[in-house]
Amino acid sequence: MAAHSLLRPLPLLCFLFQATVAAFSSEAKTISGVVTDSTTGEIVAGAQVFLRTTESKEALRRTTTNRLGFYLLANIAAGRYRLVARGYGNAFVERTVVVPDTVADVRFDLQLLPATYELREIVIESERLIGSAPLSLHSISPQVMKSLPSIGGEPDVFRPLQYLPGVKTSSELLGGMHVRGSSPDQNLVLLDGMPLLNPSHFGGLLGVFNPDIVRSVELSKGVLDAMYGGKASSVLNVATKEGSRERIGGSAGLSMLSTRVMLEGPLTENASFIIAGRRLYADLLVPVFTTSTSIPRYYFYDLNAKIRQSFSPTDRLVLSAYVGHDVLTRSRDNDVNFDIDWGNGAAGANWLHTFSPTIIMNVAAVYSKYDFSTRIYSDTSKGYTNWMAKSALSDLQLKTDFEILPGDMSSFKMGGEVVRSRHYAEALDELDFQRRGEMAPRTTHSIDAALYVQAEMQATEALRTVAGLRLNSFADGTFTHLEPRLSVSLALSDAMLLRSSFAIVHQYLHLVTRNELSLPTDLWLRSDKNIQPARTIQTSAGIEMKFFDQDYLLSLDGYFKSSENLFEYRESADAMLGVPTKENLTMGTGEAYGVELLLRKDVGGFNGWLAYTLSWTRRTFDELNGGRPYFAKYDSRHDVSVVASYKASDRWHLSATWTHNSGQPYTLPTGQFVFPPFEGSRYYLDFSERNARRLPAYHKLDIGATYSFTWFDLPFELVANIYNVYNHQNVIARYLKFEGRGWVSSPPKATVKDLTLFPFLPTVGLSCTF
Amino acid sequence: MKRLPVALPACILAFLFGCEHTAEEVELPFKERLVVYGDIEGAVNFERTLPLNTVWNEDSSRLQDVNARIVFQGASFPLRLDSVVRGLYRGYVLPEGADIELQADWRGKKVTARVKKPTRPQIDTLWMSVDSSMVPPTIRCGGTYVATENVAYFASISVRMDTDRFEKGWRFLKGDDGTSGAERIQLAAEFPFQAGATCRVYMIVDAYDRAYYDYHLSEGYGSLPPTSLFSGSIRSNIKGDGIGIVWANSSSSRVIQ
Repeated sequence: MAAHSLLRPLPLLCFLFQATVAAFSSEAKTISGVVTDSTTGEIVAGAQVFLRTTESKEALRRTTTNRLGFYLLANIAAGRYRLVARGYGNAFVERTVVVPDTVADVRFDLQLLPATYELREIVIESERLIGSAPLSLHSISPQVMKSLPSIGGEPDVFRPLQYLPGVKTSSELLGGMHVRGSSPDQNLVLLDGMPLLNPSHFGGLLGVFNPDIVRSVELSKGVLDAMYGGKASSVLNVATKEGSRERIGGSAGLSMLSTRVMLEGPLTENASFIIAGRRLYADLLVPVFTTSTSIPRYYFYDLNAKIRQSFSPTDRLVLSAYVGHDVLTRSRDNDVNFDIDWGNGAAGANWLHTFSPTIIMNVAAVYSKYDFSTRIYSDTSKGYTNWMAKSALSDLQLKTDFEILPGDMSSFKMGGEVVRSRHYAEALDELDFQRRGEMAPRTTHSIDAALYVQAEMQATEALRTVAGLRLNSFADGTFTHLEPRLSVSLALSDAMLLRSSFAIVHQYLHLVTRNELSLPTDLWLRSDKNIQPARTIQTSAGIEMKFFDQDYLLSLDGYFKSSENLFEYRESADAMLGVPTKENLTMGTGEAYGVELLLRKDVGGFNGWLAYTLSWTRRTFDELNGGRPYFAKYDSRHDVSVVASYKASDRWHLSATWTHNSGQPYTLPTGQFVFPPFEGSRYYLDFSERNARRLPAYHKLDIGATYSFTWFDLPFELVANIYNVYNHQNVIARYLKFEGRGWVSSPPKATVKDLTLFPFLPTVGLSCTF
Repeated sequence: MKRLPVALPACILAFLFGCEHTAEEVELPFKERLVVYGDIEGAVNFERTLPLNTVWNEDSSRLQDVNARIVFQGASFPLRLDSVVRGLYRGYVLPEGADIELQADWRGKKVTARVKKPTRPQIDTLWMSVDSSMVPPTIRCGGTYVATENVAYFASISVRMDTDRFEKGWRFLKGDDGTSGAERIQLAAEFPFQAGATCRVYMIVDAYDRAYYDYHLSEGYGSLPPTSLFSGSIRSNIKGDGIGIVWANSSSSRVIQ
């Protein structure tokens, strides 16, 4: 059924592919090549490539390398040109290229050099907003990630992201990433193309991405590239380094949270490797300070490995793997004990074949898995509890993408994927030796599939469009949806651009969290006949401009999203987290809208950005809040972030971040009652107004300094951070605590409590490269 | 204790990283609402919610001036206030399969609840044997009943020995979701048999609507005091300015011996 319905449009897609190839196989001259990093030999995705005459600094043509580091400039007249490329961190190269009359396609690979700021000025004069992709993208370089203040001196991918407009976390901890009013499960997180369901370690303390191997981070908000599906809100694309082709080397880092090591180098002339590991050692430090067994032990580790092999100039194979695990335990010596562990695992093989400079094929096989296991047991005077839940989701994905580059300003993509999904779950809930709930081990399999096409083209000098269509088939064909996606940008001048987008997307995997908090053990549910896929319609429009010699970029975007088939726990659902039955859930709708402002300076010794978001996120469920709309727990009216980075000298780098967020909604009971209403019964709380109250505003300042030095001929970096400089007691949760046993004979006495996290917290970290 | 699975990870987090303070400047909110509890065919209790940190007592909580009625087949029938018990309103016996709506208002607060009285459950087979090799001799007995769509069942096997009544082998479960039709449920129990006693063994099955089953699941989980951080409530089928549960059930019983 699923395969049949998906195969129906296949002849049409094949025809489109052949027609496109034929149409673009003309005699026009092209310059193409691969941009690599001169120090490591790695390919550089997202590098900007400019072509100009030898006499002028004005760019004739402009393009960007694709995820394989490939660029193409088409329809070039014979002549002599200057070719300029710029990558992350202002890495830069400029070369002269000659296009002779007698050659149709000129292959010209570029190797980026670590640039000085003086060299960069040449490029800046050539930058224009014309031709910019209309999709809403934010890129974070590893340099930015490492330069910003962090918790415990440990650089983290998620820290810079949360300072972007439209992006927030629920709280300092317990937070997934919320993009434009979305829940964390609506973000597609990819590590080298491999999906990770839970991209954070415990409570969002750190991301699962080892900072030493991250090559680029790209967040796509709003309308997504048609090659991505199954998620309603955003794509976080994290690419790792491929390993140096030049020499064996690596890096090591030591912070107050963890230790990390990375090793990379060539395997053969045409192959390289990189391997990295990291471990949090909080569990090892606890026994140093106390012999108490009541303190929980927590640690995580993550490992990355990657091998790249080039078989020929047109064929390369990349093997990637990731495994990470979190473990939280408490000794059996205590009244209440637990063993909780969870983690992601992924492995993938990626074969890239270049048919010609204008046609690229990428074939990938990816296995990814997320599992958790929780066991809580107690035997106290208050009663006996035994609670257990296990869940595992795994996907085996085969996908093929074709990318056709008819010109430097146009591209055509098409592809498809088939995914075999497996979902395992079991749960047991015992109270006083009575089984309150039980779910026998249950494994389900299904086949999901998708096809997509997308055309990106420069319709006129000023008008650029990205039009995509994606066809999803989910759960053996139970659900089939067609998703249109359209983005348009119109350049009003070299320095001003309007953009707008529209998309309909469906989500088939739902993370159901309790209203109060998100946990790594929250349940993922696949859509089936009872759990309908979420459907989101989103539109956005914005303006982007550059000024002051194009050193500054200002963007203003507005968005509106409307979702249906969202799921929440029903009011007073029983507490059996491990039993994801439809009886516990209720379905509703949501809407999110807002305005985002970004003022950014990327160039010069002093750079950074200011972001402001004005937003609303509402939910409406018939069975929640009396059917009245309520604010989502991560609704926040005003969010302001300031990020500043200053390179004071060759040795010193300073940075600071300041955030201010409106207080988040929370729920307090609006009364109490005895139920059943007789002597001998218990007190219960009445929650009649969901998320009706607001926490105090959250704000803090973090500062950091990095000192670079050489020791034993090795480059070292000493990082010092101060978290929450002015020691603001940010409340991340407000709740009630009770005295009394809660019976009519022992009435409860409630006190309002605030939970605050990190106070003024100075930390240091040390890293070196070898 | 019973909210442990929900609250524990948050407690751990707070323990590892957090600091708890008393928020003295925060006022506890209060919104007065109706509390409804009862069998719509027997007696329905009306109370009101109280502010937090207020001690419950019958006199201050139970309501004597509620305007309550049931609507059945388009006709409205008022519930009558019991002359003895405060806050208790007498209902009506209704036919199996009846769809009933409870309507009540009190000082401008209005609540409604929809209740379906399930059809009488069907007890299918019964069996019993006595194992005389055991000391004391043991009665083994059981039976099957048919569970149908979207109805919850409380099934039990009881034994009355002389004047004492024991209950054993009980279960409370929801019927299937209707996708596979009716389901035959088995129930079995063992009772030590006292020599010389006169003994009567019954199988009893009560059918409830889904809302009552949901309430049964939530009962106890949301009771106060929760472990500390977060707390819940009962699962309610009352709409409007109130909370609680009303139900109508049908019962079947058969004598095994």
